Amino acid sequence: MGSKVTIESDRPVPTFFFNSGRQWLNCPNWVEFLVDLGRALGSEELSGQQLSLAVAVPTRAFAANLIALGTVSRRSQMPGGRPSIQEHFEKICALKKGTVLQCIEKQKKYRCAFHGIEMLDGSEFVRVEMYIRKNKTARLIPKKKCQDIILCEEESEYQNKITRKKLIVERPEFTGHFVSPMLPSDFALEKKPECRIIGMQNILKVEAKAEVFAVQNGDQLKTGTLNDVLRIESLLPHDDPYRTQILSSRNEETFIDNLGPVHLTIYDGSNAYLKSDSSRHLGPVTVVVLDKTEPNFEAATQKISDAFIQRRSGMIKLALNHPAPHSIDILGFMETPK
Amino acid sequence: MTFVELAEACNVYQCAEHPMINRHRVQHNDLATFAIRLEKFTYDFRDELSDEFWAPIARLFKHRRYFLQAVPLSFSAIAATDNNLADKVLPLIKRVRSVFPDMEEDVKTLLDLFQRLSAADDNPIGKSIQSMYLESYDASSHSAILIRDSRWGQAVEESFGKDKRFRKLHVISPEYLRDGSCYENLYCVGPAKWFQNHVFSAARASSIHLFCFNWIKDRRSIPNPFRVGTTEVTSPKSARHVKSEFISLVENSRSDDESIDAEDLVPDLNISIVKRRISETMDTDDYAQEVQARLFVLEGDALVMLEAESYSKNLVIDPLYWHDDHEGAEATVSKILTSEIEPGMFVLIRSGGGGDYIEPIANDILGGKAQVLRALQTEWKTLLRMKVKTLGVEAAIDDLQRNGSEKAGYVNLRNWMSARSIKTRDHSDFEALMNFIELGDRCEELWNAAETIHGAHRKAGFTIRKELIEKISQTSLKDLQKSGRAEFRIGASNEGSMLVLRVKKIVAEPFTVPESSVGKILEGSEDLWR
Repeated sequence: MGSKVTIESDRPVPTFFFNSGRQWLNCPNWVEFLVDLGRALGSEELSGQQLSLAVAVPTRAFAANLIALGTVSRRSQMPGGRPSIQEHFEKICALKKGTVLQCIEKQKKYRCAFHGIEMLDGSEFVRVEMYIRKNKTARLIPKKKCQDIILCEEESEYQNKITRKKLIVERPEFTGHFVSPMLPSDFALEKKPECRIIGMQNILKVEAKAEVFAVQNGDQLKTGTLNDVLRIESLLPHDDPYRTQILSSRNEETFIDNLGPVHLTIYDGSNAYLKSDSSRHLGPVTVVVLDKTEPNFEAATQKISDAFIQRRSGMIKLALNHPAPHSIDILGFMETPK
Repeated sequence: MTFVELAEACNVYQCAEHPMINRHRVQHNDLATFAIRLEKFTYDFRDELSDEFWAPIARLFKHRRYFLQAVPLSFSAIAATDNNLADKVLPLIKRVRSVFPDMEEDVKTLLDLFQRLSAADDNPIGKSIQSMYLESYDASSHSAILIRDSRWGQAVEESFGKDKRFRKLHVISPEYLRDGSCYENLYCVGPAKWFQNHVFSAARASSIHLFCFNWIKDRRSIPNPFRVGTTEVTSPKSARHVKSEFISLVENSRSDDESIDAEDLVPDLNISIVKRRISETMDTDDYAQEVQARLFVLEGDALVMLEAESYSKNLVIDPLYWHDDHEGAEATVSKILTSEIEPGMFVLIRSGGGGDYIEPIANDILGGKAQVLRALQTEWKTLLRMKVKTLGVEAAIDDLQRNGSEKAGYVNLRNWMSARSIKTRDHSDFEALMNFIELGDRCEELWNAAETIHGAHRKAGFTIRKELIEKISQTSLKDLQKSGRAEFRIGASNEGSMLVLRVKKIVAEPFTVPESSVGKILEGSEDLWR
């Protein structure tokens, strides 16, 4: 049967609050437990391994998003492989004039056009141009600050539209609470896909956008959404760096597409899991959230139990900071990585 | 299950954490005698009862036994709902003396008990629920009665509501326990075995009281969902935590004689009679198209066959996708493959008349041209079926390919012969079909007719979906969940309205049925149960 691997959470989930409809209350244990479970599953030690975990819950509400929150927040502490100044500068130099870029200035970002490299007093500068209040404006950004320039995914021509500066992070206190010591703006500017949730896309998005959480900042409560930390690709403006993807379990292509690897894949609900090929892993950790009230719950528990019998190479133990609610049942096991 | 707010989810976890599950045994001498004697009778005479003569009698007795144990209404009120059936069956019982004389005495005893119970105003479970509710009454508390069959919900709610002390008691079915609504007390009518595990393992009430007659053998506990055990979870705040293997049910009173297994009391579908019924109703037309279908048990035990060919799709309402805005209503209505329909979803059935709910709306769109266009369509479809039947499928495919059809194959040919498919996708295939049935000279006329019908069907499909979304955004999904059915009038059609019915069960066994029987509620569905 193999050995028993202990999977540990790193640190307790920082206190946060939820809106009960009448008042802000401390998040209950089930919320903290799921985030803590996500933190444990985000461990770097699991890279290169193959872990499957089924979590049977009394309601699937928020469970997948909370687990993902834990994983994203833990993995924000890991080095992201940011390119060096020289590497980044060389990429900028290779761009065609007129290519759209994003620049960062005082916690805000704006779109602009690349207009070449200029030498001033022996130093190199990136010249960018934009329209501010209908006036064409240029900026020279020194090479040593070139990491404040974000390259867009797809190269496109800058249109002469008025540039509006946008906040990099809408709710920095909330985001910072979960990604500290990383700066919220650094966190938001780094593209690091960590999680993929496959399930009822519209409901997952409604949950992620709900402003029902808050963190304490001095004597004030600062509200936020799960998406402030999850940074879900489809809920962000085009080209913004993301960390989480939500895919529809109704779309057959979700299960056919050759999706790139991410650390954590969550099947949210029995139907999503039953449609998947359970022997095909999209990364080191696969979590299946099963709602005990779903019509196909028993078929899904049967499938995961069969996988446990046929493919497990080792058992696991979870060492978390928050106790498991009695209403949650967990089955986890290691498989031999392919 | 629908979209659950965070605050609701917190309540759900609170209820599900440590629910108190108590079983209360209820007694009733006459019903006990009737239930146990009927069980003994069906066992002792199991060979004789396989004779068709007994089917309606056995069905009447068994169904009545089940309802008297599963519905908290007075026995006489339950009897009143199937008086017609009893009136039809009772003359049969009089013939027992001449047909099965050895069984006469037992049947007479059962009949006496049946009639005595039918006249009684007793409601033992209802009374037990009422006294327990009054004992724990708290004006702010939120309690509900859980019954297995939602079709009785309204009658039970009305019956309890006659006394103003019980007007706040909701009557719900297990499907209702999938969203975020929670209760202080849940009064379940019947043994635990009659309900899905989630009623207890994902409890929506902090106290669950099961009211079960004391002759029913029930389960002792609710097992862990993973049959292979669970993973150990430890935390500094709690001792080593390995989940218990089961959830215990606490016996609140002693059971004297558990002699009938809970599962044996529930009427089940008689598949062999369903098959016989289908073969009896096979079209007399030798060239009628047969299709693969699945049998769906819908709310109220209505039965319907839905086409299950690989391409067959149906419009469904899936409450899983509900959230509280127009976008949410839109997400619940979708067209999915028959193979993807599952219990809990709602299917659309045309109430009364034929099976296809698109056709009458499409005919309205076609207006005065509808009859002529449909006749043209029927003409070539019938000729095609006749020629394929005469030549055989293989030869027909060869012939079509020689006539220039690129897509002629087994699946496509079946599809083209089907009345539910309007035309081929490519003109070249249609031309080959027309040449094959010797209507090549009218190809353009028939293609144009098919295109017009196709356009009307597409438009009708959009109309139905749009109006359905509109109706759903105006209706409370909770009401739909509670009743398991709704009736909507769609479009300006006079062809009747659409029934939206919840899928309770899908029979695993596939059926081959005439295409004309697909999508229609099977007539006399109640006779197909035993």
